[in-house]
Amino acid sequence: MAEKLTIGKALNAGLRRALEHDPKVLVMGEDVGKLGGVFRITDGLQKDFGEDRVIDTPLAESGIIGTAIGLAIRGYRPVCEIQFDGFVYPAYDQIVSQVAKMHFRSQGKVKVPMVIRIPFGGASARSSTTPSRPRRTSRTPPASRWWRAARRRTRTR
Amino acid sequence: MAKGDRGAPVRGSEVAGEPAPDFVQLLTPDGERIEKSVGADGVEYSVEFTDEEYRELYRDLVVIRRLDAEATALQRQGELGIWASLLGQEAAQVGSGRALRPQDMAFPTYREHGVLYCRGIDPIMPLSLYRGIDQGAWDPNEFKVNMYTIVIGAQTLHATGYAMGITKDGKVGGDDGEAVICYFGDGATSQGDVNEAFIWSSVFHAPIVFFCQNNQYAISEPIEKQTRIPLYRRADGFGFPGLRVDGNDVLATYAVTRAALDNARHGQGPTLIEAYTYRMGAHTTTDDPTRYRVASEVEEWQAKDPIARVRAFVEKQQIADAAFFAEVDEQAKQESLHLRERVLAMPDPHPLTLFDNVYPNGSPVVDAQRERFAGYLDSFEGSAH
Repeated sequence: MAEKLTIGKALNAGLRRALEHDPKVLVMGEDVGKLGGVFRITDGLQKDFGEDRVIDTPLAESGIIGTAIGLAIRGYRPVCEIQFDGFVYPAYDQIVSQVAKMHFRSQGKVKVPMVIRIPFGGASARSSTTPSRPRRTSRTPPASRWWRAARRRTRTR
Repeated sequence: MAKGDRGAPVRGSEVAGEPAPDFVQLLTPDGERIEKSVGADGVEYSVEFTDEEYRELYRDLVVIRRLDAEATALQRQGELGIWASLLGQEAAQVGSGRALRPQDMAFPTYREHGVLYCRGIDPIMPLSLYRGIDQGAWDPNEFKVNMYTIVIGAQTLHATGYAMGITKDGKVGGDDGEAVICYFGDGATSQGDVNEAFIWSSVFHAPIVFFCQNNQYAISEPIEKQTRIPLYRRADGFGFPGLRVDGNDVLATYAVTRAALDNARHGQGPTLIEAYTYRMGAHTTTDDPTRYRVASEVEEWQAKDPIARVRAFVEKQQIADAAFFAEVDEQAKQESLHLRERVLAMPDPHPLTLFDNVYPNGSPVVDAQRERFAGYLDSFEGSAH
């Protein structure tokens, strides 16, 4: 019988497995290190994989996605955490105009293998601008794939 | 600009021809060689070239200007959609472009045609972008120059991340270490992305050189609309060295860029270089600079032309003769003619290529769209168009 996990614990296990399997995988974001992320998704990963692979970044979302693009071009596979869904907008140009279009613009010569993980839903108490359901707009950029993890089903597109 | 006691005037005396004391210059506008010049970082800069190397720098400058003029002409004749001329910025681009070592990586804006040329990229590549054939088809992995970036400042973060990757790969600390050069303009320094790139580079001690071509204008807005202090001084607040160089002096630009890149590859972290230059032409072919700047200002900068001073120098040194100048002019002419012929011969891309490479491994949604569009195109079979 399969082990039952919360989504948070499953994500943590998935990230751990990715870090174990591929030395090029990096986890980066705000508070993902010692704290283990504000939702504890990266709990314990920095302790086991070090500060070079589980990276506490400066506090700027565009910087997280933009530098991850450069790391991906260099051959790394960054997994970025955006702390709250409502905080993703400062990174919007980097997501919509940069990462999503590089493969097309370079006629396939530049590959940008990276993951952007954004929490949504849940039941934590937050202000009106912290959760803002950007996933509808997130789905509009072409050339990126968006997955939504949910308790009952996983919808992909 | 209001002159308060907090902000130094940004231009003023420099425009009038007196370089600031912190301005690295090794070749004056009159072609006089300066042996050594101290930068704002306290470092003494100098450069030694052979006679042949001086001649080759002159050749680069002349050929690049000629190719650029050809591209402007092609746009005026309707053969390019738009063109962003580098006129006036040749020395900044050749000096920095030639300072790169083979293992270094460059992240350009959309005006670095001279840097591309120095990296051995066929000059037709940027023209195919401006003609709408493709998005610039050179291979960034082969030439170590990333794609042109139009969104102002966005590439500074990509360059920073790439430089962080160099560190992770252990490719810093020796003469064979790698470094990144990131190009941007004076206007870009107001962008959040550029400031974030400065922060990331500083915090992660990335092997990167931020090369700002301050050409005095962000389209119509003069530098005073972007800053109250000289741009190179911004680096102080981020925790790495910054310096200003005469961007119309190919020797000084080469010297400071080579030193900054070597510092980066040896593990000494980022540097900000402000190449102080002037955009002699329009922002792009869609722009009309007579609406926002006066002719006398352009004339002042004409006197500081980056090519004339190298010519004056090699003439005074008697290391180039009339036959050499004629040969360079002829090469520039032939290269530009060749460029023109190839631009006119460029085939239009097939409409269905629009769907190529959207996703690395294809996509059912895009495949379905391609199929529908192919059917639509087929419906014109046999008609005039």
